[in-house]
Amino acid sequence: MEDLRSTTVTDDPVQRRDLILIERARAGDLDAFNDLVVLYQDSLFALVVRMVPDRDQASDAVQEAFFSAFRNLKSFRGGSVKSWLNRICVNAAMDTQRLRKRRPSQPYPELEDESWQPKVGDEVDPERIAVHAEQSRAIAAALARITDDQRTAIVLYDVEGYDYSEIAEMTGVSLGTVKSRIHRGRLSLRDILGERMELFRG
Amino acid sequence: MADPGADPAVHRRHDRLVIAAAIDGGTAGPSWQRACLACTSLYTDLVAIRSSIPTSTIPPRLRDHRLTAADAERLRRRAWRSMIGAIGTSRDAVTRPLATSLTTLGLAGLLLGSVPAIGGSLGLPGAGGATMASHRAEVWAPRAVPTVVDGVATTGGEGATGVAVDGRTPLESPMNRLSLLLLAGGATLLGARRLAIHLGSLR
Repeated sequence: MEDLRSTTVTDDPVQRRDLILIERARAGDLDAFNDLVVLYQDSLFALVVRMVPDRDQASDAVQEAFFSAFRNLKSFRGGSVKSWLNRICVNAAMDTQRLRKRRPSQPYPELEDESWQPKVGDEVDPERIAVHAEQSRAIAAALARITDDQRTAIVLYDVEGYDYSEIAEMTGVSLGTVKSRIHRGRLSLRDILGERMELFRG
Repeated sequence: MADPGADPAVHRRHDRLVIAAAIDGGTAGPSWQRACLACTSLYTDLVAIRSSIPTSTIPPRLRDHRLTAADAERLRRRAWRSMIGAIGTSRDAVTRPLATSLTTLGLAGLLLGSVPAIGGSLGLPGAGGATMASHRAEVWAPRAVPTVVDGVATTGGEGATGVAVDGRTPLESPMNRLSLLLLAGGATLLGARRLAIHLGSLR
């Protein structure tokens, strides 16, 4: 079996850890694969739920992504495990978006108030907590109202830090289309937020 | 001079997309934007939106996504099913171009096979009656060739190269058969892809 560590020289302890886990998973060690799941399920869920603003559907997409990753362990050729899992999740999220388009349109559900509260310990000022929660709710509601393509491009660019060419490759469109989606998406967000933009100003 | 930012007519001529693009470029924006209060406000708002998206709170994860032993076993057994399940999804980069190619080749072959002038000039087997006759004569002469007369198989003489009793329909020519096969294959693949997409949308 290919030793990924020998083909990918890295001093990054996180990457070395991930490569070891992948190797063990490919050898049949389910616990090693689940260790990877535990390490990345939060960040991957955060990525997907921004692209598919429905917690149940996002959860299903993340699960499907992990199933796909497990089935395709042999297709991993080295590099960043996190990036590999990210791409599988982005594909799963886009598949979910496509399925939604074929069903009668339903707005994404509004989330309960407590969903927007930051974790205990992150912020001690109650007023800042309340403002941050309100901002998060407003942004999420606005993101749910722009197109899937624009939302995907904005999330991949502004949140995940991919550049235009990487996003173009992941989504199968041209560089110009990626830029257009990001810029038009942000303008749409601003229009949708309307008066609620006051939450974000100074 | 009047403040350009106070004149809605002036602001309406400003391209919002240029302002949106300036944010990613890390520039302050064009000069006309900086001179327009409305555009400056737009620029500031877009920067605020861009910075707030990554820091916004995410709803908590609903469940634990670790795989059970039963999951692992099921996934290992279903490797071939997942290949089929990938049809019509973002992972499928094969079926659509393959189906299109097969259908195109099949149609092209049928077209060439059914138009004698084209097929004959290309010397394609099975294309056009004249070509068929000469092909058969070349292949089967001077051996005795079995022929069918009124449904009864008989053995003809050397001259019976099959031309006189060539009752082949266009569908019986090798090229047309192959073309039909390709066409059927392409159509089947396209149909399977549509069905897979439809079934996927029902899940």
